[in-house]
Amino acid sequence: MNDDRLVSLLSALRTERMDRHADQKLRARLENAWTMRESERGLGWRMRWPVIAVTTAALLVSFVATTVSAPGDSALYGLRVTIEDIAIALHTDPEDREQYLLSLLEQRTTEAARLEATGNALAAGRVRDIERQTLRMIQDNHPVAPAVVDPAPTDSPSPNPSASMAPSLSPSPTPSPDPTATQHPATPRPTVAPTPPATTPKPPTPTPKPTATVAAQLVTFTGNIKNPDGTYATNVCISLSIGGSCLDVTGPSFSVTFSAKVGESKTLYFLRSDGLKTYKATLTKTVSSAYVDVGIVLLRVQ
Amino acid sequence: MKQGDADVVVGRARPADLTGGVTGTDEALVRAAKSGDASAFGELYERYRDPIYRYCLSRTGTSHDAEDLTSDVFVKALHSLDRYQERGLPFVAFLYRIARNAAIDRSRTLKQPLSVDELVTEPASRQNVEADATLAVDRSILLVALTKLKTEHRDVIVMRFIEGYSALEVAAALGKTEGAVRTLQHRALERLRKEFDDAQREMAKGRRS
Repeated sequence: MNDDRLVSLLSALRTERMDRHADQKLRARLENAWTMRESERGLGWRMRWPVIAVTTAALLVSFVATTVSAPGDSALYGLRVTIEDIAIALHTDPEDREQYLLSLLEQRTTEAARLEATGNALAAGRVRDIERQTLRMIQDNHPVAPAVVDPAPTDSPSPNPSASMAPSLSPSPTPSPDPTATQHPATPRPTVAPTPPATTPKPPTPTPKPTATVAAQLVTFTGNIKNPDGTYATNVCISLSIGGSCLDVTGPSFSVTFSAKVGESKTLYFLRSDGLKTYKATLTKTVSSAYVDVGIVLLRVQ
Repeated sequence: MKQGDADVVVGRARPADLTGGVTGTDEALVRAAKSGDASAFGELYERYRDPIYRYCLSRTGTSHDAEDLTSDVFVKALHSLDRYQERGLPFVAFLYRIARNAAIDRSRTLKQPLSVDELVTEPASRQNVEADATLAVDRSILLVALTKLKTEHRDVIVMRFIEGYSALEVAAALGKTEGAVRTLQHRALERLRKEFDDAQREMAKGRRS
């Protein structure tokens, strides 16, 4: 058998056709298969779309959950802050908003401290910026009460020499300080009976000062912490009570915010341990304004 | 007919219309079939029924088995139509691939290899009934020889010499280079000639005895 003969025989097979009866049988089989396929596809889609919807919802929920708990060194942290900022706007009640802002501040401070402790300065700096923004928002939101509510003393001689807290000149048999302006009751003063106007005015008697009344506000103490050997200290727990929870774990510079009244004395407790020794320091300062720079805090070996 | 009757007729399940007759490229027909056009699939069936049948014939050696195998190929193609993607693989190559796998599956269940004696009793196809006896015998021997080839040799022989595809087209369908197809074709022809001669001798021996 030569190649030409072989190729010629192969070419002859090109005329082979499927038998007509077999073709009809196959066509009928295909028609049935087609009908079944179409009905299965319709059923398949009807069963599939709820699965797709549930899966999408689950993915969405898990994404949101991941975002709202994203740590400061995560790429999602920016999105988390955006979501939290939107949530601030949703708190329409000032008190609610303040509570929310305070909780946010606490979270962000803790996060920044954590990042500083792990040595991630870049992320920590970013979180510190966000923390400062939060603080500004708190201050904007919080109506700062007057530090000292001190009624203006009457310089001019009063026709009625009786002590009067009210700026009005109307005679009042029992003058009393405005109760809304004080948190503590004013020093009791003797009730002065109304006297007829005198022809010669007496020199004014000194007006007794009411007790200074203040409202609590957010106060930030800042400063630097040093070790006994003069080196700057890090990982220092700062708290408001001995053994209390840390407001911040930071160093060498610190910035802690808490609620206090102007004129009130506050004590900060500094604690650091390097595994061998424990270093402590205590600082008591009188709150004079919203920002108090305490300077350098020197730790001592316990 | 009332309006309600019309609704009933529309709503009743009707057999799919696979008559074909639709024009367009294979790609367009596949897209239409995927989106539920039965006649598009019917047209694809019309186009490739006989080439696939001939391929199956070269694998099975008998028209009866080739018909069964062709039927399996098209039903499988229909079921896997959604998975077919036109990434440079022509639809016919997709069909050949299914046919090859179906033939391999079928050969696993085949009890005995085909013998020449079995084939010479197999009537020639109805369109070749007028062909002379010699040609019919040679055809039968050729089919036996084809079934004894390796798969890749047989694929090249069928696509190049029976279906008349170019070496480039065969290369694309088999995922080989054109040069590799030409080399394969040369070896396949040599092997086929040897198998043909062996089958011819075997038949002559059988007749003498």
